Amino acid sequence: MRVEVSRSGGFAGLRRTWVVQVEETPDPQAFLLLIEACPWDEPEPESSGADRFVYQVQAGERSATLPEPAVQGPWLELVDQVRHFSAGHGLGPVTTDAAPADAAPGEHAVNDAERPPGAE
Amino acid sequence: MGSRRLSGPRAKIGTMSKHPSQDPVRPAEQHTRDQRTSASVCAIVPPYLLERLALLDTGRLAPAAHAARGTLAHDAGFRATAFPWTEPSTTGQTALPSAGGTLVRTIGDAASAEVLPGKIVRREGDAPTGDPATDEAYDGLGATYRLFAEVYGRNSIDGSGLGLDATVHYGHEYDNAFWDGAQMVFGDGDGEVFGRFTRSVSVIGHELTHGVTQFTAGLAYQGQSGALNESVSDVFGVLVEQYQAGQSTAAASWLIGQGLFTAEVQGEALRSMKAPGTAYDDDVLGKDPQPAHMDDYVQTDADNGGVHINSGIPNKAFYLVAAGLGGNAWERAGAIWYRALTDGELPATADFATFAGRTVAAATDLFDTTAAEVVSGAWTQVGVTPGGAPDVRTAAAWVDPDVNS
Repeated sequence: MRVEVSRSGGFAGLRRTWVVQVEETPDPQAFLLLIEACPWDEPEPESSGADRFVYQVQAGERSATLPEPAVQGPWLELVDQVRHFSAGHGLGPVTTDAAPADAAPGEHAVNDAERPPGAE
Repeated sequence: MGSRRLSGPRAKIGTMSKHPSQDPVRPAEQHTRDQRTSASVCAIVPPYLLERLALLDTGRLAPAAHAARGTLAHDAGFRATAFPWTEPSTTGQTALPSAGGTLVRTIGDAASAEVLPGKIVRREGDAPTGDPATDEAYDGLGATYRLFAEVYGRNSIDGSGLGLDATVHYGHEYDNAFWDGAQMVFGDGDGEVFGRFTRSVSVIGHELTHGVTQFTAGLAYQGQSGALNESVSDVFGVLVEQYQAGQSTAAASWLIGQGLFTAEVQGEALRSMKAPGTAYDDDVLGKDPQPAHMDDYVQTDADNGGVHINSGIPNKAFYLVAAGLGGNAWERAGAIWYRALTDGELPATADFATFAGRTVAAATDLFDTTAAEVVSGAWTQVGVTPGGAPDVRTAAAWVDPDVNS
């Protein structure tokens, strides 16, 4: 199973993405247990304040969008573990939410393309 | 650049606790999490996960639940508590001259944990501590207070002298500064992309202005109103810097967060109001993605609808107004924006066009039709047609014909 954590927002507005394949972690069963422990079906909480990070978490078919203050308990553990085991030991790529340079006028696709860890 | 580390994998994710008592486990948990270098998820299970597991009585997780309950009982004695805010000291306070208000700053030190407010290290009137983050936060709060008090006659963020609280050294290599709804919070940065977030006065002014917005227009932090919320913080953030330095519109950098990037990053700052999209162009971070025109508005689900991206459009409009009016930006351009934000006419869900209309009305009220034309022209240049009735009095009485029809 592929698990992706994408963090956007913050004062800088920079997006970071971390990806892990559960099968490639040292203890896949424990990882799956952690995924199951997350409250995927609970309503997405409202955020307060400003300049907080926003996390988008996807595990297989399930996904959740979480304001930073809601990343607690098993969510916090899952995010931490994905960052830890992400390729390059958690050095996830940085991307920005820019329209691609070659986008036609009127197209404003978000550049979510992952860059390889340590990309130059 | 290939060896540059972007952020440690053990960087902590934020928690928000306006009230320390709500967050009693963080310091103990921090200790636990820092130890966790094992490859196994189960090798170190944090208390909150234990608590969740302990509630599972049946099925395949029952043995884990039993073990979790035992571990929780064992760990109970290790829970620590956060430092509470205490009342500001009544001695040694120095009140700066202001519009009938008093400046009361309190700086907390989170000591690299994710706790708020942390240990109180400097109160109003205290001598500098020698810690750069603490003293920069203290000075930046003072500079921000002075702009709002001396130029706009506003007594602190709520208009009633609310104390200004900030926490520094928040989190481990924490790459952010934020307003949590009650106070400002500053991380130290990872040291490789970002340095400490208190280095730029514009950042401190930006965060405090989120408080002003919260107490006035209350712009919803999503989509265009969210981008306006961000832009207003950038506007008054740079004005704090310009007012402090006595810089005219022509002399100012119009950069947000200058000095935050380390020397390894190819970029001057995080954002440029004068030229959105040009603040940085780095081989790892990529290029500053801010648009300067509605044609380039970015539709995205991330970052509450791209609030830190699309703020480039109203940012550019403000710069154009300041350039068009000349002189010092805080005097006329700033006064127009301040009026639009605080006169009670701006809806919390305002889009760019609505806000533009309010700034045109404010320019008319405060100055003259020439100023209003400069404002209107600036918005037009960034692709926004000012909306709403130009006359405040008729706008207030206007009723949407589509509602209740």
